[in-house]
Amino acid sequence: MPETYPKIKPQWVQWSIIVGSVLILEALSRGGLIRRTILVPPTEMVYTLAGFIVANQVTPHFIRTMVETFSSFAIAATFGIGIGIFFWKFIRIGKMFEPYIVSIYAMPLVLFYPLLLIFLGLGSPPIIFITTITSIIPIILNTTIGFREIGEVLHKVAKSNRCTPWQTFSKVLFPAATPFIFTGLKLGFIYALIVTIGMEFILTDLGLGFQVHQYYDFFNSPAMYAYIVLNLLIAVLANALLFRGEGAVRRERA
Amino acid sequence: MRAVGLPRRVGAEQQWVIPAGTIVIGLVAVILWSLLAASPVGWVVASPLRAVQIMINGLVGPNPMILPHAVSSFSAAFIGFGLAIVVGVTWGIFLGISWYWRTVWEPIILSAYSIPKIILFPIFLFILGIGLWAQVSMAFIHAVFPIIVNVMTGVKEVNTTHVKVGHSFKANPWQMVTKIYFPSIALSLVVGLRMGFSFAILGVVLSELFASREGLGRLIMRRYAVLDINTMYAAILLLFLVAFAGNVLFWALEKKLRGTR
Repeated sequence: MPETYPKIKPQWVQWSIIVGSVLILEALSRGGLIRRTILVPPTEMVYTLAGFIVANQVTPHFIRTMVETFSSFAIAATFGIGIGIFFWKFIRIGKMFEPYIVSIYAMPLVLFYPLLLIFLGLGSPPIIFITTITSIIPIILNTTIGFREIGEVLHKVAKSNRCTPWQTFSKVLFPAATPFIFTGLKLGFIYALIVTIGMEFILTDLGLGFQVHQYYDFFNSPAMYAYIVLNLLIAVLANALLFRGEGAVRRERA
Repeated sequence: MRAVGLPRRVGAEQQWVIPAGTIVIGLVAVILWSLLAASPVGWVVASPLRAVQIMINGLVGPNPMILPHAVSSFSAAFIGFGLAIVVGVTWGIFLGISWYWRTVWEPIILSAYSIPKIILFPIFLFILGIGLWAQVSMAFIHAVFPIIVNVMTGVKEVNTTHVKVGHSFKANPWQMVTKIYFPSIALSLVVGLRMGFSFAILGVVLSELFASREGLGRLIMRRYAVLDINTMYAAILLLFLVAFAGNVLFWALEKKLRGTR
C-alpha cells in the first residue's frame, strides 16, 4: 500500500512545529497561564542571552566549555582510533573487553570525581578525564566495526598489487573504514559536548553548564533560561554540522 | 591462504578463551581496585571486600541504610524507563511506517537526542517539585530518544517482500505485527532498550546529585561529605552492578538475535 500523505512539504510542517511550539510557550507565559518564575517567554530568553553576549559575560564560560570539549575529544579520537585498530587486529582481546566497553555508557563515571580530584586537582582536568572516557567508547567500537566489515576483496586487491603491510593499511584498509570511523567520531564529539556540559552543571564553577546551575540557585529564571537556550543551540548546531559532514564523507566513498 | 592483514578467525574449539579472558580482565580490575584502596589514596577508596560487605548489610542487614535509597533510585529509573518504552515504541513504529512524518520529525528527534538533557532538570524541578517524579522525568527523557530512534530504524528497514508475503497469506493485523514486523525489528528494539535502560539509570543518578530527597546519588554525596567512604563505595558498587547486569543482559539478547539472522 503506497502511503498517502499531505501535499504540504515536510520541511514546512517541521518548521511550523518548531515555530508553533515557541509561539505557544510565548503565549502561555505572556498570557499568565504559567508563572514567569517557571517559564520565561522565549523572546525574553533570547533578549537576555543577547544582553549577556554583548556584555561579554558569556565568553569565559564558552571558552572553558569549548576547551574541555575539544581537548577531551582530541584525546579520545587519538587513542580511540588506535585502540579500535588494536581490537580489530587482536580480535580475541577485543572480544574479551567488549562487555566492559559496551557497559561503560551505563556507568555514572561522575561518581569517581572525589578520587579524580586527588589525582588531577580542581578545575578542568577531572572533567576532561571523565569526558574522554565517555567520548572514546563510540570511537573504539565504530573503528573496530569499520575494519571488521571490510570485504575480503580489498585485502586481495592489496595483495595483488604487492602492497607492503603499511601500504595495505594506509592506502586500502584505512580509507575503506573511514565512513565508520567518521560516525564514531561524530558520536564521540556529541558525547564529549553532552558530558562536558552535564559535568559542569553538576560540579564546577565555570562553563556554560555551570551558568545554568548558578542562575537556578539565584532564582534568576530569565538568565537560567538564556543559558539553557545557548547550551541547546550549541548542541543542535554541532549535531547538524556533524550530520552534514557524515553525509559528505559517505557520498564521497559511495 | 590468509590475505594480508586479515585477522585470524577465532576457532570454534577455542570459544572458552573469550569468556575466560573477560573474567580475567574483571579480576585484574578488582585487584587494581584493592591496590588503590591499600595505597596512600586509600582514604577516598574503600576496598572491594569492605564495599561488598557494607552493600549487603545496607540492603538486607538489620538496619538497612542503603535499601530505601536503592528503592527510590531504581523505582524512578524503572518507571521512567517503562514510560519511555511505551512512548518510544509507539512513536518509533509510527515514524518508521510513515515516510512523511519521519521526514518531518527525524531531524527534530535527532537534535533532541544530542542535547545535554540534564540541564533541563531545573525546568522539571520547577514543574514537578523535588521528589520521585522529578527523577522519573529525567529517566524518561534520557531513555526515550534512543528507543524512538532504534525502533524507527528497525521498522523502516523491514523487508517489503516479507510484508507482501504476509498480505498474500491474508495475515490479519495482529499476525502481521507478531509474525512479520516484530521478528524484523526485535534486534533494533533490544539495542534501543539497552541504551534506554543505561541512560535511564544515568539520568536518575545525575539528577539526584543535583537535587533530590533520597536516592543513591544523594546518599553517595552525603556520605562523601562526611567522609564515610565505605558506604559511599557500597552505593557506587550497587549502582554499577545493576547498570552492568542490565546492560550485559540486553547485550546478550542482542547477540543471540544477531546470531539467528
